[in-house]
Order: sequence, then structure tokens, then C-alpha cells
Amino acid sequence: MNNFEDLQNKWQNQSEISATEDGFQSLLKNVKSIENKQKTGNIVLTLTIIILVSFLIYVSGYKSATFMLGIGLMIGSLVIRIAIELFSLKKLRKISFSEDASTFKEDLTTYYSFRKYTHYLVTPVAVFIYTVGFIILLPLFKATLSNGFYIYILCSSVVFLVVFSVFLYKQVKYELFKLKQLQLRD
Amino acid sequence: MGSKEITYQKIYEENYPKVMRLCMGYTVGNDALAKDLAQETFIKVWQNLEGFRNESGLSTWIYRICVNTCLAEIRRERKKDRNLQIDSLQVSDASDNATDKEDMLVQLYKCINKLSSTNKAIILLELEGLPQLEISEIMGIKHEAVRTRIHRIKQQLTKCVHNE
Repeated sequence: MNNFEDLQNKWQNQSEISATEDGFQSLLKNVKSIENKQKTGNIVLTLTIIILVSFLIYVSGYKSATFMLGIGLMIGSLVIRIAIELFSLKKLRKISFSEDASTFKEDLTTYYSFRKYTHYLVTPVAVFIYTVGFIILLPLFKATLSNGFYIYILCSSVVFLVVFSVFLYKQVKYELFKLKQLQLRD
Repeated sequence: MGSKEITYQKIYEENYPKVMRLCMGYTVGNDALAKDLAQETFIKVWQNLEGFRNESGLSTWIYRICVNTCLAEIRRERKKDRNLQIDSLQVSDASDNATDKEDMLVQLYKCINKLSSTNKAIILLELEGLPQLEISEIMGIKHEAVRTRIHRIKQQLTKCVHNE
């Protein structure tokens, strides 16, 4: 019967897995592209915030309280959701991959437990507030827009809500699965 | 290339084979997924290189990043992935018993996959021939506990590989 040393020997003699120059160049390209993407992401985020703030300043001249309430709820829920997402990302990036595996697993479990509250509480409330804001705006849209455009807005928003909900559902399901796996006893 | 890139290339060349073997063990021999995980490991090495303070050896540090990258990669096993796995196992042995060795490796991968994620990491490091003290540093588990675990897993694994 072969013993463990025999298995170890076979393991270490697996076909040549060696580093290649091409492999390194592709890795280096990838590293640089990630750094560039992070810079682009920051620019896009700054621009989004500038556009949102400008839009709010622009519509603040609009005297309708209903309009302000509707648009305020929609933008407000969106901003809160984005802020929480950014906070989560910051938390995730803080987890050090060079810690020992037990500490790392603990940190990752804490992170996904925090995400559970975001998914079960913050996200549904944000989607609900966003929908309420939109519904408040509907009579205004009907009064000021052409019938065709009104129907277009109505239909596209329903499609958007369904697509967004499916996306969220998948994300929540995946993250909860990860948490469950992390909490499995070794 | 700057000095960071030169150091990085040296680290990559010296550590790629062991990182790749560890990732192959985690992915049950799925070459494509293992390459992705190895790439992910080296990206993190680059991102954290400036923070590396020789408290542990470079090799221990890279193993930690690799094990954690593999631990974080939890995914549902799909049917098509199951077929893809163990598709590229070869041994560097030109003799007649190469096929026997490949069969044994396939069986070894299958048996490793039956272990919990932590035990998987421990035994993969043991298969790499790391001292148990270093394994304990990488895993954050006491040396004594690691020794006991390794003894138990070795028995399970040897038994499983030979279908006993």
C-alpha cells in the first residue's frame, strides 16, 4: 500500500507548472488595468454626485411640493443605497488577505453578516421609498407629458424595477450562500 | 520596468508553480479556474507588496494570500464545471506507469475535495512539504492542533485514494 509520502511525491511531480514571460506580462497588464479602472470609477462617481447635486439645485426652483417630495424620495433613496454600497466596499477592501486564514475567515464572516442586514433591511426600504417617490410623481407626469411618453415612462419603470429586483435577488442569494459556507464548521 | 516591477517579476517566477498547485488543489484540478485564482493571488501580492514587512517569510506571506484568495472564492459547483474539472492532470513522468500516476492524482484531487475548506488548505500545504510550524502560521491555528489535524487528514486521504 502506498503511504502519504508516496502521494506527496506524486503531488510535487505534477506536470511542469512554470511561470512564463507571457504570463507575467499579461498579469502586469491586468494589474495596471485594475488601477486605471479604480481611477475611472472615482471620476464617474464624482461626476454622478455633481450631476445629482446640480439637478437638485435646478429643480429646487420648481414650486410644486408634490414634485419636490417625489423627486426627493427617489434621489434620497438612491443616494442612501449608493452610500451604503460604498461603505460596504470600503469595509471589504479593509479585509487583509495577508492575515492568517482564521482571522481572514472571521473578518469575511463579519462582513457578510453586515451585508445580510443591508439586504434584509436597507435594500427593501430603499426600493420601497424609490417606488413611492415615483408613484407620487405619476400624476404630474400624466398632466405634463404626452400620453405616449407617459405610457413609455410607466412601462420602462416597471421593466427597470423587475430587472433591478431580479439582480438584487441574485446578489442577495449569492452573498447569503457565501455566509452559510463560511459559517460551516470545519 | 521600475524596481517594483522587477522585484514583482522575481516573486512571480519563484512562486507561481506552488501558488498554481495550491489553486489546482482547491479547484479540483480545474485548470482555468486555478489560473484565475493564481492571477488573483498575484494581483493582491502587487497591491500589498509595499505593506510587506518581513515579519513572516515572503513565501509564508504569499501562501497566506493564496489560501485566503481560495477561501474567499466560494461558489456553487455547477454540473458543467464538474465535467470540466480534472481535465488537465498530467505528471512529468515519461515511463509506462505515468497513467497510473495520473489516475492516482485524479483520485487524490477527488479525495481532497471531500475535505472542509480549512482542512483542504492544511493538507495542500502539507503536500507542498511545508513545515508544520509554517502551516500553523498561515492558518492561524495552534501548532499542536495542526499536527493532530494533519495526522487525521493524512489517514483519511491515504485511505480514500486507495478506495479502502
